[in-house]
Amino acid sequence: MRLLSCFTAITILLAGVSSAIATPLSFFLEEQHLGSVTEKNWPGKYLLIGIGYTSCPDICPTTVMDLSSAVAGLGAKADKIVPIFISVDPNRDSVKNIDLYVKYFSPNMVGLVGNITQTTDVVKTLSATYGYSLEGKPVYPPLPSQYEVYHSAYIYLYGPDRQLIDVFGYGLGGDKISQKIATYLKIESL
Amino acid sequence: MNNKSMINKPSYLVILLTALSAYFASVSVLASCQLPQGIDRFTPQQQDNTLPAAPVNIINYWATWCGPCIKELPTLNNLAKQGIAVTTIHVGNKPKQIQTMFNRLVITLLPQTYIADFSPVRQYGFNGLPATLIAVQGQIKYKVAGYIETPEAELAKWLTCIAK
Repeated sequence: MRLLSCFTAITILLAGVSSAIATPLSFFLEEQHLGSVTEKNWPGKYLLIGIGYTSCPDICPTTVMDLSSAVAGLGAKADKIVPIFISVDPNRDSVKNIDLYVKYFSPNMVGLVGNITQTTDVVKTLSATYGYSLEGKPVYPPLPSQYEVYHSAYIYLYGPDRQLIDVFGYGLGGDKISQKIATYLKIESL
Repeated sequence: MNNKSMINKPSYLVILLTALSAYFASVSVLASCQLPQGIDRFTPQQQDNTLPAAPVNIINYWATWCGPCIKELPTLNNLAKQGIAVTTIHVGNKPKQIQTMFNRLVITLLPQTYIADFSPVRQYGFNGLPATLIAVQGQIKYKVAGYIETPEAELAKWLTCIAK
């Protein structure tokens, strides 16, 4: 029988997103070329953020592909948006690995990773969820050699003021996300 | 006029009976081949009319960044060696990376076709990669979401069975 994959868990967790009022974005993470970064990097830009990890066991979510195509679909306005993928598996995703991974999709994609505390903090600020399991039971750091990662799979759009603008469901697809972002950019330019 | 009509009626009947017989024979073959675990029966809302009418055709969507996709490529190549039609479609316009990966894995019998993005895959209800469709006589009948866990020999046996 197929093991409960991260992906299955993602789907289950889609129904469990927090309904709490969104707080402004806040994080302290590492980027391969920039070193330590916070939400204050990329001033004046919108941030399109997804969370996940690079070592999918039997099925790979398309979050980073959606981030990339959503931004590419904006054409000339793409430079207003910074697509960011944050690892929720810092135990296995090094800052170098996540950079290599995201650059496959787009040279403008930013891959971020922190320690477990920093990861928990950024996930909390996104009102997202993540965790680890082994044979269906939750496990906690220090993690065993084998474990699965589960996490919510929304994509978040934050404005230049780092306030949450919109949240896009997993599977919506880059084209539709792009169209919605284009609407927000149009409103801003009025 | 009446005579002509009388002559043609048995011909229509023969054609109809032959068609029905072929249909029920194919249904019977599919039903008698034991479906391996992890492979689901699937009828898409819209069939892909461009599929070749091979007895069986595996359509596999993959990407070079997807670990489980890479893991199953050698199995698909081996199935192609056994004469099973396999169409691999890379998600993403990355011909150089596809070539490099095929060279590394010594994949010689699979096409290096690619599509720009995931939208065509999503229309079949898939939400991730790898994603595999199995068509019988040009009609999509089965799907596998994620890594194909069926052992190669069992998979080949089942594919040969449904191809009859």
